Amino acid sequence: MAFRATAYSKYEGPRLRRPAWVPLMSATLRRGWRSVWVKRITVLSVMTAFGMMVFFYILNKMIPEWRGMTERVGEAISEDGGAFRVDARLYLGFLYVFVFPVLMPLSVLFGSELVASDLKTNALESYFSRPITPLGYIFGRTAAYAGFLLAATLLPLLLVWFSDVSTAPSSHLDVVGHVPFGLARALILVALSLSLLVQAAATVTRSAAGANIFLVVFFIFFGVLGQSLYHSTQNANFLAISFLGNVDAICTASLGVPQTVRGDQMAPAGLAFAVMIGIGVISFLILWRQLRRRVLVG
Amino acid sequence: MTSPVLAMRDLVVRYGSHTALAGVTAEFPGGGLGLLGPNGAGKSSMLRAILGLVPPTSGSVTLLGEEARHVGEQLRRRIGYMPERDSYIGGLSGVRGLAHFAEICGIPFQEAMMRAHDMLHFVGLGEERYREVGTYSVGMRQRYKLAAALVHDPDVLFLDEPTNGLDPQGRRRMLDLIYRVRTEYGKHLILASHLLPDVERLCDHVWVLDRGRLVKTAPLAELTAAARGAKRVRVSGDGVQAFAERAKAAGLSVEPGKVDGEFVITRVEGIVDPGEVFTLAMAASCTVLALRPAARSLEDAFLEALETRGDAGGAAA
Repeated sequence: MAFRATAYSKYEGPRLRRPAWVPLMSATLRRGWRSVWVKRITVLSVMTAFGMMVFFYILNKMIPEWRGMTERVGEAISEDGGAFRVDARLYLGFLYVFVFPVLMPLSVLFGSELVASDLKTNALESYFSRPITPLGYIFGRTAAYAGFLLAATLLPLLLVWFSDVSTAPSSHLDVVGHVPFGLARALILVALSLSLLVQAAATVTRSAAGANIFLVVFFIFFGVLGQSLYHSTQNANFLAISFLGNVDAICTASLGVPQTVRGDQMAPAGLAFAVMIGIGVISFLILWRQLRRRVLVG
Repeated sequence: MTSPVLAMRDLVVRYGSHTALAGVTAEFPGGGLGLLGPNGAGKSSMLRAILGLVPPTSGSVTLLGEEARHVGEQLRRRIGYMPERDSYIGGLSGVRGLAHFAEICGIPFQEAMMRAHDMLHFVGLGEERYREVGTYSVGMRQRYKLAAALVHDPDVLFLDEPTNGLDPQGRRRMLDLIYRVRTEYGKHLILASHLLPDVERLCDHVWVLDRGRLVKTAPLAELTAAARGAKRVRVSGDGVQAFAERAKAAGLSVEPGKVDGEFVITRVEGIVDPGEVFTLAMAASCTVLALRPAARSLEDAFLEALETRGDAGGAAA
């Protein structure tokens, strides 16, 4: 290959005063979007929401009284009479559809590779000799990561909610008006905790595969342990050691649905929130310490 | 008087119980500085402490007039760092990775892309700029790291073993590039290397480190006196001291030699004329017993500094 050394040019253009984590965040989003499976899951998720919007619209056009009809059917076939009511309980069902098949696989596919790759290629040394700190790095990566997760879950759910509200009588807003806030609360908390947990696992294991294996073991082991302890002691607090169980409890509580409506026993909502926040904080501290230890004090 | 580019006061860096730097005090006025020392001497630790990647245990480092412990965003934009180990963003092409580094230093995306293209052409990777950096050869990665250090147009370049892993031809080309950047574009250069010819080619100041201590700081011209026409002269007679004083008065640098009556005489910006030595000796009523070039390379100076340090360490022990 020809070794062509052209002249060095001095940069005389503008320099932006934006925080250094902003380009890191946008680069992370671009990097995530390049993954075929991330793209597929995200597109599928958004398309599902669009499908639901179209369904609501067509149903409303064809059978304007469909809400009343389904409620009457629900009252006839279920004991509590709320089976087919379009309320927070229905949105809880939607939330599960987006949280477990979308949020969890996306977090594993997208997140574990981010920090693990930077550690593997020693990119952190180049980052931290530039105007970015470990805190800025964590912020930029986590913002993009959580943003991606929310774009694939919260955004479609909000689209569904919007199409529901816009095609229903105005009194329907009193029933589901609180739903967007509940969805946002549950998903932001879960997405942030999950993104920090995945990144912390990646810095400890130093590999994407290792982080994914850790997460699967973490989810399954603590899920089984929580159930076992609950069944042997009948103390529901033990269910709070299960990450997935806490996601369940947080989603239910955020939408204001009573836990009794769900058949399964759940951890108390307050405890589930505290444990999830605790996981996020501990993961952040591990991540921050690992970044400093592995790069800053080489 | 302008402030030095780099100044250290009693800099100590410890990793747990291991002391990497033990109380280094020195100043670098600007130009090219070579950090010399055997493996484990503390060169990389010093670079990392200057960059703020390692917090000093005690002491202070001032870079471009600012305290490095609190290296702010603005200061880091003026620094380009080429680490010893490979360092790149996995999965990105050369041009994308460089543009990203430039963006982090505040350069808008479009300009960052243009700059990335320019820098990759400059280091000779123009044809390979769309390839993933992970697929580059060792030599290409070294050049990529140099481009990454330059992409945001810094004022000071920190290069840690920039010619590691390069074949002789690649090494010469890398040194040519760095030399051009330093001399033609006025960048200050701080180079950590154990390859003395690299330092001789690129630097005009040298700090010699050994086991975390600074054992020698001097302009390269002083250390490599032979290249400047220095002479080793041995005189005898009553006026030996008078000879040394007259030589100093004549604008020469005079260092005592290893035996009585021997001196190494240097003129920093020129050659010491043998006739001038004889004239000075006659004036001081001395006899010139020997006069020869002071065959002293940087390697000699480096080894001498380390030996002195070793002797001192042995004596202390």
